[in-house]
Amino acid sequence: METKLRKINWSKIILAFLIASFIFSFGLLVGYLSKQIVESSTITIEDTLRNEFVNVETLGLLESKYPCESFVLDKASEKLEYLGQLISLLETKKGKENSDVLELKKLYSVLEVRHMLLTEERNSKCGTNYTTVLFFYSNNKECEKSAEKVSFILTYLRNKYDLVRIYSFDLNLNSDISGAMKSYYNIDSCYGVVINDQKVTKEIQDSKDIEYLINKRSS
Amino acid sequence: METFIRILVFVSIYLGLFTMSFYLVGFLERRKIKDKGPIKLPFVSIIIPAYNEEVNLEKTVETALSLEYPKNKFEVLIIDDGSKDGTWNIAQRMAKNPQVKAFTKTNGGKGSALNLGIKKAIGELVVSFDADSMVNKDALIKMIPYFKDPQVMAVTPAMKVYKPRGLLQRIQAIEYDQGIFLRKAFSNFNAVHVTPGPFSAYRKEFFEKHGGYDEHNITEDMEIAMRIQSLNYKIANSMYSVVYTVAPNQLGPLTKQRRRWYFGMVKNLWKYRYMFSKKYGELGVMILPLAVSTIFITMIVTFYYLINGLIEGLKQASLYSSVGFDFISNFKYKSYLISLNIQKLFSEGIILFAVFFFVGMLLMLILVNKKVRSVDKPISTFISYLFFMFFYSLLFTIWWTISIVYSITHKQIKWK
Repeated sequence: METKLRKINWSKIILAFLIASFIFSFGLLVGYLSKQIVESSTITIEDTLRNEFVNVETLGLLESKYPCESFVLDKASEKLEYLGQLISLLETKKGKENSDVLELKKLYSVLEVRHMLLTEERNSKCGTNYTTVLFFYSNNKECEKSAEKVSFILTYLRNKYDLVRIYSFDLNLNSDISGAMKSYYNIDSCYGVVINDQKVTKEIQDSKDIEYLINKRSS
Repeated sequence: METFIRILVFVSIYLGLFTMSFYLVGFLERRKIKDKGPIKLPFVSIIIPAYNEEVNLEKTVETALSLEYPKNKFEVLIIDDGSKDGTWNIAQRMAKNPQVKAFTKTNGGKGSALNLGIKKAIGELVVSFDADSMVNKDALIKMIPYFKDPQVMAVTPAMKVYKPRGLLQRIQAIEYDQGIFLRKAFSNFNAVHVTPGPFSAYRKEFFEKHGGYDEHNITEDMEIAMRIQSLNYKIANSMYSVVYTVAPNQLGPLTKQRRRWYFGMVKNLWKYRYMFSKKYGELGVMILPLAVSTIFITMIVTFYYLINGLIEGLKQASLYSSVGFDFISNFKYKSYLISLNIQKLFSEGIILFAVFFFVGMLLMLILVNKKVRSVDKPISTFISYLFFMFFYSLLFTIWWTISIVYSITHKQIKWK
């Protein structure tokens, strides 16, 4: 049987190319739009943070009107956590040195301090047993591993114990609040942990190293 | 390195999209079988090569005998390839049926068994029928119209996994369903390059003119298909001729099978490397090059993510060890978690593409399953698909790595 040369149907190849290019471009567009949404969320987070100041101020007033009502403070705690997570996401996307992210962290630090003071006031006025944990961390390369481990342990303790409140401060942040707290608690290493105003002096390798301090407070 | 991998991932995404679009265009093309008057049903010889198949042989022969095809128009030839069990005894017993003939020979591999069958066959068409396969009754009759085109030397079926159970069989089930889609698309480009052993039909004259199966080739079904293509004949696909095969359900036998397949593919692609040319149409310029590049890109990307995954896994294990692996206490539902995770998901472009890709594949599978009658329920297919999504790329990479190592180190692989 005579065999003949095959003809290539270029129209099918071109059609496939057009379909693939359209879908690929659409995907790139969606990716670009998502990135824009993340970029624009910087502004949204900043507005939300500023609104939270008003919220926390109002919380203070609400505390005097409805003393010792836990629902008010708990809601604010969850919101604070959420904002912290959003800032971490932005940090991953935009980089730790990004000026927008650093400004947000400064605002966030102030909010954390106000929230912490409200929590401590609640403890003294209402006899509650909230444990306030201050976590000072550094984003330097050599500190990454140890800080990440301690952060993980503290998050675990926050999830395990309902009354634990964690407030994180970036040691490299050029802000008055971080600076003041750093020197007050004498933090001079990769990280520092202060539980209920007591600095943890030993190296934290494991949750057991600090869990007893939380249990002591809760009992 | 990360930038290089990201570029490679985007290249592979585009290549994957292009490949799927190309196959979709091929699949959707309607090809009319050239009508040259009523079909004259040819005499068919169904060849069943058997090595140590005492468990399956009787059922396979009975399946062949129950095909919807005139009884006086086909014969069944059992070729015992030097079995060490009761296969030959069963074959002789079955040969009491006038439609069945049995032959035995010293063990020489599947190719040699098929060649003996072809030599003994009296049919115009010969069909290879694996002893561990099942076929729908109308499978053969649906293949015949494709032979109206005198250029068609072989017709392939739609292969499915028989009632898949367990992780491995379910993954293979989806892979086979994908194969139905691909083989149909390939046939519309005349680019089918494997004629599956379980139930492919050939014109006997091809073997008479161009020689039988290559008895030294570990994937003789691919070699014969490539030979047909190299001579510029055609291989058609009958998507409604459904054949079921029992897939391996353990990793050891499955890996052995795939090692043989892919090692064989490497050998055959090397043997027919001159076909990577526009002389061979879409097969030469698109399908073979796309197949090879997809294999390499998939392997590189999978290795990268596997290694990264292992490193991350070790890191997480170390972190969890610091909290006594207390997973339960570490997870606490919070109302913001869902919206936060959605934001994380949609901010990563590659994940979006992965979602598109898997949705596209799911639609393709739905299309295939709508067209091809299946014994499986849709929910079973969906469960199989989930397993496929998560594990196939890893298994594919492992199998190909082993096969390439075997090829490079010139190790030999035997049939059994």
